[in-house]
Amino acid sequence: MSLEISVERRAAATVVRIAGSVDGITADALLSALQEQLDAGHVHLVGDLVEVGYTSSAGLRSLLATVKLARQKGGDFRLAGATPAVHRVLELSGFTTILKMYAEVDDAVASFGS
Amino acid sequence: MSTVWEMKREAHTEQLPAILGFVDSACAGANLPEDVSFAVRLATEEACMNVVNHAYETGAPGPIAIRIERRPSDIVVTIADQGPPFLPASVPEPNFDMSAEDRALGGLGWHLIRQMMDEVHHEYDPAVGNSLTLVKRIPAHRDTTGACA
Repeated sequence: MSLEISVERRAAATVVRIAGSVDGITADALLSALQEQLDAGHVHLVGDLVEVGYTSSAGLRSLLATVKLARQKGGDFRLAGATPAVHRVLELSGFTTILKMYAEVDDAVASFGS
Repeated sequence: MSTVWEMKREAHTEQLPAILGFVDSACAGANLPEDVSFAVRLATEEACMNVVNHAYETGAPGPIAIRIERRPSDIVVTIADQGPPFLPASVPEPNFDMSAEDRALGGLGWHLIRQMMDEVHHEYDPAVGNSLTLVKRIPAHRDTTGACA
């Protein structure tokens, strides 16, 4: 039940790469890491979910809170690379219609440039 | 022939690493297809989080007991607490006809439990408390790697 988070600055957006399981224990750390980026003014955020093998509703709460805050600040938080299992949880929770989601991280980053 | 995993802890956030670690390792050890394992882990985490966060809101903290039984054709999870009666019918369905800005944070746990499991049963006995039983069937034609046989 570990979570690794790393940040990469790109011209159009900041990519937050998340790896591991997002559950009732790790979701708070994820939210803190994402909010830290927003608080620092990096409001064009991409969540790279390629290496997220699991998320519960605690993780969804962190993602939704980040989307709300990013949009309040005039930016957005977009998701990329969700595995089929994680995508299903997002879909069952109605997130795929309210968040912008991309298959590839590069496409999510490019979406901020257009 | 079945295999059973059991644990009992105080339903407190300090116990979450032990509780979720137990769920995680039971699912990993149950030799399940990947999607079944994911569903059971998710539904069980949601149910345990509900107990830890809500079962003893109005009184002294009490126990959570988790039993996971891997049977040949299904997996049965039972989560018990001694809090006041939990009323599943009182849990509102989440409203998906809202923008992200208007959506409430949370309220998805019970929805995901219902979506992920094949059967969900709740019982309340004043002598022993709440007992939630979750059943997930294991498709017979699939091996444990999740691939079609």
